Amino acid sequence: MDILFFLLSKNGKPRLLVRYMVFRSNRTPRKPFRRFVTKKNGNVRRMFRPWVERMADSQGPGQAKVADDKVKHPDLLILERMRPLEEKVAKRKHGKTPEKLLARDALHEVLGQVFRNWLVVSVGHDDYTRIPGGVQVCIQREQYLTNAAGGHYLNIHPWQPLPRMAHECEDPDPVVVLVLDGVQVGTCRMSVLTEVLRTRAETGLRMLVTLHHLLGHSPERITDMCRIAHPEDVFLWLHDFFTLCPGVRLQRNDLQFCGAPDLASNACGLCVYGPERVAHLDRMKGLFAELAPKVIAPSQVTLDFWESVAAFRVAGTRVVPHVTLEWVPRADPDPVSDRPADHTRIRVGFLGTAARHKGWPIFQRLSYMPELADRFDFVALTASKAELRGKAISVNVTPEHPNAMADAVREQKIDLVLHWPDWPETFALTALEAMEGGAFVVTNSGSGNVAASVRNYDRGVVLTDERALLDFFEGDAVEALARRARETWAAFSVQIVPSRLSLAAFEETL
Amino acid sequence: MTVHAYTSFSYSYLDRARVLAASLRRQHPDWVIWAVLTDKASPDFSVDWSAEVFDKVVTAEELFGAATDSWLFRNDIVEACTAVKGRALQRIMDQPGAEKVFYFDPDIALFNDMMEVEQLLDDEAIVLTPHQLDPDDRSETQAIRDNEITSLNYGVFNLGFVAVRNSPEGRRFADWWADRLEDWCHDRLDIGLFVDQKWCNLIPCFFDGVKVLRDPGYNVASWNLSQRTLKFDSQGTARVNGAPLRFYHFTKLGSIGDKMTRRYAGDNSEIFELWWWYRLQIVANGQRGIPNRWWHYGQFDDGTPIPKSVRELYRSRVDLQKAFPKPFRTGEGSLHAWLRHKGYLK
Repeated sequence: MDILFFLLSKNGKPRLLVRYMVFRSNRTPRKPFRRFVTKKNGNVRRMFRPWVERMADSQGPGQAKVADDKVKHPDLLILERMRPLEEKVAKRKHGKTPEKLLARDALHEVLGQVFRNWLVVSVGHDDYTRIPGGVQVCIQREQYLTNAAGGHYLNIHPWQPLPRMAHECEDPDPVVVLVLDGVQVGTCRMSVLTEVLRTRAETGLRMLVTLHHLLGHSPERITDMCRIAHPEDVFLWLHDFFTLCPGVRLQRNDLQFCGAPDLASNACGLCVYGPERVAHLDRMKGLFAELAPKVIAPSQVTLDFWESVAAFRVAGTRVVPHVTLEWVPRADPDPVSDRPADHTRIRVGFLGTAARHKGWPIFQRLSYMPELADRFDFVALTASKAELRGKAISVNVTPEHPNAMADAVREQKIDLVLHWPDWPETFALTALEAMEGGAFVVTNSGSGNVAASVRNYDRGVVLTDERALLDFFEGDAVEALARRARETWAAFSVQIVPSRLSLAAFEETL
Repeated sequence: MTVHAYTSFSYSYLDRARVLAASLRRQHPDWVIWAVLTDKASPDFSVDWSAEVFDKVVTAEELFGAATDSWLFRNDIVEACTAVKGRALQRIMDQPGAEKVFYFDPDIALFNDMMEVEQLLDDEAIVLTPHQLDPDDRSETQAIRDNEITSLNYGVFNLGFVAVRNSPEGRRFADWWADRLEDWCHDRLDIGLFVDQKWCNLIPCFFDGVKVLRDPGYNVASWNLSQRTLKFDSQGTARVNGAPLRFYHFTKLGSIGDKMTRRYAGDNSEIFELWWWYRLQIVANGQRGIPNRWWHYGQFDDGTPIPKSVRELYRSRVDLQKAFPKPFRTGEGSLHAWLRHKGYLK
């Protein structure tokens, strides 16, 4: 070991070229040197640590060199910022008193004039007309579909946003904001809304309820409202895992996927969401026991997982993907995105929010690896701030431009999209947008519907872990996959086929 | 037949002791949990022991009787809170039906049950956990210095934990330990002593039925993190090198503990999660009003702090001990006055 170290160093300092031969810039040793450089537990041996620490010029911002007593592990930085859930709640509370709450008669007046044959009451966690996001897009489309089918669409979301359900002791009758057919019409207490809807239902209004999200709501008051509807007409979406835990991604301390273990487990006992989860599950069980909703999952993989861990009373389950993709043989080449199959450089994209749970740190790290600079161009298509060695292009998906992301993938001639979430995503629209734009997707086996979509459409690769990802990018397989992406794009155009969302389920009962 | 567990602390460690007691109660609702308290409350605060998780409280005064003051004056806070462990063990063993006794340092928290050790005590008299179970790599000179050489200096077994069966051999150990701690529980590395811990290097030599527990799930701490990795399995169980995490020793809460943890936890971010949880528990279990670094026996009765050098002087001078059996007193004819006269105190 000492001889090897002597040969590779000069006066105790790493020889510049040799250093790059031994280490990748992400501080992991290259395969032939791994045994010499790392201990069995994977840590770099102390004698080699200066080699890694001096490679600051090749590293991305915020990236730990070696986690030791001087350099903090990135997860430690996250933990240092993390506060107990109730502190987050206190911070989130705006402390205002709701003004101009609609009383029963006023609400009758607001709603009564427009009610026709049937009404969809959708329960969400924020204003889908103003806030972007996958669930919000889904609700928006559902509203359009409902209106087009002759129904009205009343969305309710909590007036006081919360990172958990509303506690009975805070306000047993929470205030909700009413958005009727896309227009905010006022605020009222849940009990008032329930009373008015009951009156309407008694006079013949057909009411269907679709529970998209219960964040910030009181499940007891939501249950009261749902009882007005016919038991067959209550649906609940699994957009994430909020039914199982207030931590919607089931990530212990927002760091690692936990799989919704038993409440008495160590993982729950040590998690920021653990204390709240006890009452959360009780109340959720109460809602399911009372309503036995029909559960809609946006993917089979999500439903399978949910059914394996949830012990709730349901009237049925079904899978309704937000969209599906179809490949149509192309008569003429795509005028925008001509991608020669023998193009030497590979364009790797990252789509959407530059967040840890979306895999942004890994994409960022790849972009800073000097050994990849000769073969790859890294492009981030995002509305958020993104720092990388490559190009960041601002892309905003809006109701006016719902295809903005897929168009950007096409325009930027992205070959491969790295979609590397650290939790099993329930649908992952961006992965499908990547495919719609002509890219193949690189993901991990724990990414939920991302991996399922890659396998289902055969448009990408599913890797086991980060080590496999690095090997993939350093090997030849990446070029073969990029070539396949280009050849597929040359031969086929992609059509996106939107589903009818909740309407697909409603139509069975209407 | 009952199982007892005890911890020893002063009020400045009450928060930690509460966290330990709560974790003990979660894992073993039927155990009798003892607080061994070497301290007295100040007028600024009071503790309602009936509302605490502890089933029983025993004070140093109850253990040492009339000799308490003279004996305590010879020890600093660490030495005193450690030295009472021996007599406390004897006291607990004297309880009717006490079959097995566990000691835990107050800065420990349990994460899974101790049934395995409880069962071991059916056959063994004493169970000990070494600081390290695996040697560090030869190239890891810093780790060898921090871990193995430190163990050679301070004791190979960590006395943050010991489990004893109330058998003749267990009693023989308790008696020997109590004797040594009463006289020699000192932080004197220069003569090869480190409170109660260094003495316990002799346990396998002096006693039969000693089990050295070589399970990585017990007594996980910064001094063995270089060889242990914490992960959660699919059931959410915390596992250390594959074995369930039984208890973690949150030694040196603060910058020194942080530094050593960061040095040896490396990329094992689950360790940082444990510490994050522990810090929250400490805050939640704090007692309002306890002055910073409070120890009743840390000062004379007029509030003058007692320097370590004065304690060592009193410890070494039997004539002073005889002349001043109430050394905390001040005023005419007191040790305090004598020390001032002789220039030991300003």
